[in-house]
Amino acid sequence: MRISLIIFISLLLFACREEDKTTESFDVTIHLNRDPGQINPFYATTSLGREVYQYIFTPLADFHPDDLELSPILVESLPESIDTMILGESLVYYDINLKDDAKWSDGKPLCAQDYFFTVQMIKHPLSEISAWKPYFAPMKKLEMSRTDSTALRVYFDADYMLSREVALTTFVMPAHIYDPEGVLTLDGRALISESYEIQDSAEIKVVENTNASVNAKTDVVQLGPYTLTDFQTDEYIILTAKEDYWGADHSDNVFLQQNPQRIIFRIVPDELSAINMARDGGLDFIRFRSSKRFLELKEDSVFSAKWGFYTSQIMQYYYLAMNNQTGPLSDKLVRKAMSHLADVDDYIDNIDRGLGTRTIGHFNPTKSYYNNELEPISYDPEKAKSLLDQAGWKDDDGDGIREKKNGNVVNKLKLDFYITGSELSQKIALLFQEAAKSVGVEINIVAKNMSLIRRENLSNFNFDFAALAKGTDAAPDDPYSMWHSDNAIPGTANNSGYANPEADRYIELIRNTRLSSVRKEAYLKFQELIYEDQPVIFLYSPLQKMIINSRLQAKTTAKRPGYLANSFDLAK
Amino acid sequence: MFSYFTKRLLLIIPTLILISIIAFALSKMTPQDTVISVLQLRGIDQENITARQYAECYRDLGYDKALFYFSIVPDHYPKTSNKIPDPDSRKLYKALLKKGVPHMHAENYLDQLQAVENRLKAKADSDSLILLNNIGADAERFAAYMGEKYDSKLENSMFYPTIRWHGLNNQYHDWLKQIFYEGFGPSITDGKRAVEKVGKSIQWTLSFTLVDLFLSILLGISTGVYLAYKPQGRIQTVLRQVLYFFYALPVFWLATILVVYCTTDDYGSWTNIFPSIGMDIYPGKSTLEHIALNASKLILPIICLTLHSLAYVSRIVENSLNEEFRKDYVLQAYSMGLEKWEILTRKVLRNAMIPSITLFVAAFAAAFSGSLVIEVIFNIPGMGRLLYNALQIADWNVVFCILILLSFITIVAYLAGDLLYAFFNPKIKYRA
Repeated sequence: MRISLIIFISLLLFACREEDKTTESFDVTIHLNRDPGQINPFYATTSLGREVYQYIFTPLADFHPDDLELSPILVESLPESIDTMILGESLVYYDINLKDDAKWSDGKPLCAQDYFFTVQMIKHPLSEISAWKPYFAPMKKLEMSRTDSTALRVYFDADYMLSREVALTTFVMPAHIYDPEGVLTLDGRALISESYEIQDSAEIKVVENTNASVNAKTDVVQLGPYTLTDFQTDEYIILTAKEDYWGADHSDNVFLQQNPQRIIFRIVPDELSAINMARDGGLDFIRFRSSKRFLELKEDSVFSAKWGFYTSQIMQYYYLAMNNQTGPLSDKLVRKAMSHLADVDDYIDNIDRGLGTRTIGHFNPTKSYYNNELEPISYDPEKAKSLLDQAGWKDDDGDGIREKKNGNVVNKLKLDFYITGSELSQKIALLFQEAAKSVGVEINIVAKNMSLIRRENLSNFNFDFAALAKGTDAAPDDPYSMWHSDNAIPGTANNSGYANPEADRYIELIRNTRLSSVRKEAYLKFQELIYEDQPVIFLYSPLQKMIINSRLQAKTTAKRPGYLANSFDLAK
Repeated sequence: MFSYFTKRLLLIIPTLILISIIAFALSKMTPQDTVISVLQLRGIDQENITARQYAECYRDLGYDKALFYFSIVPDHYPKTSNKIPDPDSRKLYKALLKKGVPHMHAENYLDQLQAVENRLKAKADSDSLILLNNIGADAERFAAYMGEKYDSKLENSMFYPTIRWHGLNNQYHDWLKQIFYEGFGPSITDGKRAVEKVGKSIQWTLSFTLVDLFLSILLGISTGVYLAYKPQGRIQTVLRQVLYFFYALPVFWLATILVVYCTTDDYGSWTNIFPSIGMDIYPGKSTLEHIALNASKLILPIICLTLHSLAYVSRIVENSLNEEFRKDYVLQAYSMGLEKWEILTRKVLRNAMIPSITLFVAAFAAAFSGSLVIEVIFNIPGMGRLLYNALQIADWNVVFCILILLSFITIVAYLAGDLLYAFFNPKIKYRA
């Protein structure tokens, strides 16, 4: 009896082990339309690069794909800000506790010194980490615990609205690899400031060696669930799940999951070629630029039987920039008239086949502070005519084009509309031109390379209209660079030259307040002002269009790039 | 003859130098700003690029140096106007120089303009901003704004040319050094040496274009000979129509149709004739091993290219043969009792091949540049696709590497063509 029981238990255990073994290993093949070049979050922060490096490098915290709220990854929990005064300066600090079990890919534990080294590198004058510098400028002080190697405290200017996001969404560099002697992180070393002077050649060597890591592809010591095992420029990139990964104990954390054994990125510039590859199983995931092609495939019964079709809101919007500084569009009435000439619903339905969401302003419709009370501006040529009449633009000579007298000079309402060669901007410009013609406005469409438009037109307000797109992210929006009058000067992000003292006050309030209710109210009021002034014509936020092989179980998200390949699983 | 070919060989060097100078000059005329491209690749948005970052990158790239070993300019010009990193200021500076303003005065105006700009930016009211906007980068408007500060008497009315020597400290020389010591320098996309990227892509390109070339010539000559030997008949008529049909079809259309209908079983299992597109991945294998393992996937691209060029080659050969058949020596051969086949193989074919040599030489040189359309549709990482991508992002090191390589191959191919001419036609004499 006893022997039978032992045999039975042994068989049961054996069966359980067998079941574990049946967990199927699988690969996921993702389509990229071009080579991402460098894949390093410090030195090359392009969105395409992020699509790849997000599985190799891991930040302390990231915006969760489900609710877009900040969610911990390398920290135990999200710290709250605490006000303090140091030497008469008003600051906030955050106590950061790194996870005890987080380990670099070479087995060394993650520690506060790594964070300190990373910040020093970002702030160092010889560092080529340019993109992060402005975000870390308000970080004033950093203290490491003497007793706990995973605890640290960071201090920011009290009025810096993004301090929490900056402190936590940063990636970390392994100090033991780049600075084993601790040159930049010696005991008592202060945080590098703007007036910092380089101390010695050892320091220069550390910074230069770290800068040189920009081109490192394989053997990168990092914290993410995957490691880069092969990168052939313009061909493919292979990420392989790490063995004995520390994050395996946190598999409920979506950022640390390792479901596919390999994530393979195939670079296929032509969308049609990618579809043909996908037909024969060469790809598992494609993100589409063309709505037309996406919907055609959806209607193809043979294709759609094998593929799942997904759309998700994307943190981006299309708009028509207007010159608020000079020319006819500096008049608010004329701008409002122009807004009534953009048949945005028609653009969405006929150009993007319904795959877009109208937006009334700068903030993405998924944001909690998006002002839903404001109705999108309607297409109404009659209203446009009346507004143009009010602004003094009338067609007195009957030639079909409105004019306005300025003393003895008669100015015709002829406006230049700059577009890139993209199909979307061309179609929008033509439809807008047609609508404008019907109310007596002549639109001259000029197609140019985007960098030329920026340099020759936007950067010195030498334009009337320009068709542009703006990408935002899941962090709270800071409207300062694009909408504050401080930036209504040539060559800045406020390329429409919008300036309104009332809007400035709301922008400053958004940036300075630490009360979320006040910030939300300021966001809402700011949107009302922008809606009233119509500094640009807000068109719509396009939907991300993706197809995923039906063999996979996957979720999409509004967080760019719209999916997390490490969380893909085999369909049951 | 030997000295003729030695001379031709030596002529390759100045030709390549001339090509490099032209290519270098053209790259400087393109509207794309390489400094901005490089900074964007370092992760900085164009909107956020500061003047300091731009200037540092500008100097790092050596753009502050003169373009060439010497320049011929009016005598009031400076040694080089490239010292000014800001593109708008440089444009204004050059415009002032063009108006005849001596360079020292032009620099003084630039300083004054900077002071005005700083003052207006600090003031930042709407009037200041409009004024700042109006100043812009236009010399006329700037001059108008400067008013009495601008002394038009300073403008030179007569321009005397002068030669400025820049020695080896110039952009062209730096670039030449980069070619020899750094394999054309790094690609701005991934930091790899341009020569490595080109070396890899050319293997892919040659893997299918050389096979296409071989098949096109072999089948084209055979078909041309057949059609010239037996011009009449139903088979010949059908063959000509089929060849013209494939010649008339655009390659991209033919390739797309074949890919959509003949590589998957979506339209029935019998249509799944060829392997799917996109090369399979074999990590750790060399490019040549990759090509060998993907050989079956190159069949369809080769078929598309060969079908397209077959008609052309066969038509040239047929016409050339027909022309030879009308010559007196052929009539004489007939009168001597020789059969048509004997005349064709012993006399006509060799003569008819002479005009076709140019065609084959050109086709051989073109084979190296790849077929962009085929490489894009079949996702083959060849040289055509690499060149196209490099041009789009102003990756000049890669563009130059391909350009120089193709120039070299073209020159050598035409030299080989001349040799073949001599081989096929001993009547041709070369003078050194």
